[in-house]
Amino acid sequence: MAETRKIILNDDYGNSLENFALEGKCECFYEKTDGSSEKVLDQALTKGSITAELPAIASDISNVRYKIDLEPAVAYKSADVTYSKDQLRPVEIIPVSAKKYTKKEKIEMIKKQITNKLASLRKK
Amino acid sequence: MYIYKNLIMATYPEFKSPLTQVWQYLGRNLPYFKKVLGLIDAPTFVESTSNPTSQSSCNQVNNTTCTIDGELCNVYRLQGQVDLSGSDAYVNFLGALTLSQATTLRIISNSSNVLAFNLPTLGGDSATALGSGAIVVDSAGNEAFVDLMLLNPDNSLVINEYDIYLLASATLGLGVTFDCTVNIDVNIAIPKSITVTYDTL
Repeated sequence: MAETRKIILNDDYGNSLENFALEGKCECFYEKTDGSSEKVLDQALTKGSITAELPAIASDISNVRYKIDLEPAVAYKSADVTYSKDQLRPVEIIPVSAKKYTKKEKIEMIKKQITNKLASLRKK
Repeated sequence: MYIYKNLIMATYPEFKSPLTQVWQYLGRNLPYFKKVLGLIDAPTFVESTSNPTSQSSCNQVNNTTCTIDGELCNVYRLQGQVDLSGSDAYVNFLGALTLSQATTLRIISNSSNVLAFNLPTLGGDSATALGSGAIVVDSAGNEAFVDLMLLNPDNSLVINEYDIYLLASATLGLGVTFDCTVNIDVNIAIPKSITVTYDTL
């Protein structure tokens, strides 16, 4: 039997990234008491949340691991968190940290944004 | 009396005599008095490194608050000047507004305008509101209207950092560009609990 679970990313300040545009993927693994692990979810992320149908947690499962792989261009770091099955909630919050940019890197990002916006303006 | 007169003159050298000074002060408005007394500062625009044609500043407006959706907000005034020249489309970065907590950026008033100089048909200069239809001068020296001109606060890189851009474009014909100067002056309401920093980068 499957259960519905919502996975939401939050930043360092507790800001919800639920509707924030992000690119990457979310994987979920059920870790069993015998040490083996089963991948139960592998879904692309287009924003900071997904709702997934996951298999019910059987008695031989000890932990649930969430692996968030964000694209390098995204300003947040990837995350890899493991919860014991007793900690699981229907809405799971995964903390992701904002990357610390130097002033020079941020300026480079701004310049890319300017190029992208200019291309969009010219398409209109 | 001589010492007193010299003291006053030394403090405000722009006036010729104490009597002139009194009359000139009586004719001034309250913000001017406040400025002279050091109670308010004139904004100092800082040039953007990534966009040297843009300069801006953002400061909290003292003694001014507003309530939005039941939440008490401080008011910040973003001011700046952007020179647009030599293109038919512009994306100018002004600065990044970093908030301690993500929130919707509410621009509650906008007094920005667009200046165009030496208009051949109308004559003289023009000051139009920032927006579609603002008057500019094209590369042939004619008056033209922009298709699009707006402020674009963008937090798509980091949720609590609003990068402020000025976007402008006009379709005027192949190879035709336009020039103007844009004065930015907007008030932004941000909840009191949130701290704000502004960096022109």
